[in-house]
Amino acid sequence: MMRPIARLLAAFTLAVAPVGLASDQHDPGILVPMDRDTLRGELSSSEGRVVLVNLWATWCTPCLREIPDLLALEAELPASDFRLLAISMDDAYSEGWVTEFKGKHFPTLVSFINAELDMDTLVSVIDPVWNETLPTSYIFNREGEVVKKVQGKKPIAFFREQLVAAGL
Amino acid sequence: MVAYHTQRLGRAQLSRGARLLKRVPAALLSALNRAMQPEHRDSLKSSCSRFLTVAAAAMFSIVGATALHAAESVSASAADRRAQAPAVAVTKDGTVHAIWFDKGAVGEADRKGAHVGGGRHSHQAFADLRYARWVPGEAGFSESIRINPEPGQVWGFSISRPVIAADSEGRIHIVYPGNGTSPKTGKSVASSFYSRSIDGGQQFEEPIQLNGDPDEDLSALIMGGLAQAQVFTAIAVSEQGAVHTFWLDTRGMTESMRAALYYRRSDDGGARFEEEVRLQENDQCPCCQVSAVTSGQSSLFVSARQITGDNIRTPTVMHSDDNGASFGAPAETGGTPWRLEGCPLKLTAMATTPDTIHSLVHNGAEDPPGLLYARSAQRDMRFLPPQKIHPEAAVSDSPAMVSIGDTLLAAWHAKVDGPRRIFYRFSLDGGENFLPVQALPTGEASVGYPALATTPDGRFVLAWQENEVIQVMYLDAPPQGVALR
Repeated sequence: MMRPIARLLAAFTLAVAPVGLASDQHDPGILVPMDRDTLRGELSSSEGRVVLVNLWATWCTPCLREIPDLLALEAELPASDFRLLAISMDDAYSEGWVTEFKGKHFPTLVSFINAELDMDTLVSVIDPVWNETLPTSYIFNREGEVVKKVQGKKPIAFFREQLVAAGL
Repeated sequence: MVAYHTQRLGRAQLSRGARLLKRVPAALLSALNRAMQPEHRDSLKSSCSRFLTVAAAAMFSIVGATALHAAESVSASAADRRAQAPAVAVTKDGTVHAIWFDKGAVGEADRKGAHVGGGRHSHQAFADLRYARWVPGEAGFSESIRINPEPGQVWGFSISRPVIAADSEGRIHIVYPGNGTSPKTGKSVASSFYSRSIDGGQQFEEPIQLNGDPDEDLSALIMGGLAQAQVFTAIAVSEQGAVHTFWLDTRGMTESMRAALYYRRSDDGGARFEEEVRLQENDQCPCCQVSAVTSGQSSLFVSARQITGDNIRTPTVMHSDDNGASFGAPAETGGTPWRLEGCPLKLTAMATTPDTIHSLVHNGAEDPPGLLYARSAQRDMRFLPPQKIHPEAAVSDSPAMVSIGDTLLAAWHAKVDGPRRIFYRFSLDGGENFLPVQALPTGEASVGYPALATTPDGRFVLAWQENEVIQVMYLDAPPQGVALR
């Protein structure tokens, strides 16, 4: 356990530059539609890093309360080790105003938006038995395996602990 | 088991039936020819046996094909529209009345806001509420009409579903969530609206707002620019024409993020409503949905999800035995405590059989997460230990339940080992036993959110969302005497 903690501390203290746009991160000013293939591709390209997939929606107040903590984690951790992969579960047809909403409340959040007909179709790529409760987060280890499913808003300390457990 | 469950059969099953039918004459001729040959007389018995087997299979398919025509689904909404969250009711003349959210044309971005009173908020969903009816003898549903007066006034998601009920006088009652602006704060809110039709669905009256206007701006709590929400509605009508409406209400909400349960009743078929009643203080899950059902002359039940202890989302049912004048304490329907600081969005479906109240609700703390069925005698409101309605499901959700006499029908969406599908299950003895789980053969389609109703002649109506089209079909209960555990 000491080694992961040390790595996490190192990540906190040795990050020498603000996290910019990684090569696989799009402009936070837009919401990129995400279908099943896009999700698979994003997960695949993220292997080698610990990934936190966060499912949120504009109508889910606990989700909105959680996002600042996730952004804080993203800012703390080097992009080479950690990726926050946020996906809005709002209707893809609502992309325009969800973008407007996100721009107002979470301008730095890089997020996708569900482009499938329903939430389950997309999320079943990760979790075939998701029960459509929000917020839900999945933590992937560096090998691209889901090592933790988190439902409900959790404090930032909880996420830090889980990321360490996932090998960060 | 399939023969006596009417189902929407797929093309492959019809083809199989046709092939079997073609084989009947061939098998008959073969058997007769063989019987004419002396050396084959000894085999006559076995030939007849084979013939009867093939004929029985063919008859099986004929029954299935006949059932197909009785049970094939029809579309209530247009194929080029994006429809969500169906609800159905049936009037005494057998007409099926369906409502749903219309999110716009396929390929068309969501419209910008149309609040009652103007303004916009960020929990946006500028949908319409559409209505159509299926008159007995007609091939399908009528052209749909919009219930909300102005386009885009409905706060419509799959999880903020509209509700519909029909009373014994043929009136149709609808409650739906709408966008609005509180005149007291000038802030954007979501409110509950009621409308009715007294002419069998030809026209609907101007909707009225059920909830009082909130006078506090809770934008900082709710976030997203929505200052208050009085939504997640339920409706039930009594045999005497009383209309009971309920909703979850953020008035009085504090940092603990708990809603109140409100109630409003009409005793004259929806012409006038009594003042709203704050039925439960702020101890309710604000996005857990509510439902209501009546029983007999004066019993009324309302389900909600109370927040107990450390964010435990506990499904409860309250009973009134005086037509809503007073309610007993909430009774828990049981199951593993589900701790969650989030949006469960899980309805407790209810139905009544003589002397019994039945509940069906998702529990995310079960492994795997799924629907739990429980029942209680109406007189004492103590639910028996719940059981999984679909033990083989990897996850099950979105319950609906109705009854005719002692026959109970539950429907839900679930996943077993493939795409999500609609499942249903009958009980013929008031919930003591259930017949095996049945599935609609919807293939790879995106399906979910079933809704149920009953007809005056003892049939069941099932509606669901399939690839953003609302589908409706009849279901018939199987014959008595085949109950299985």
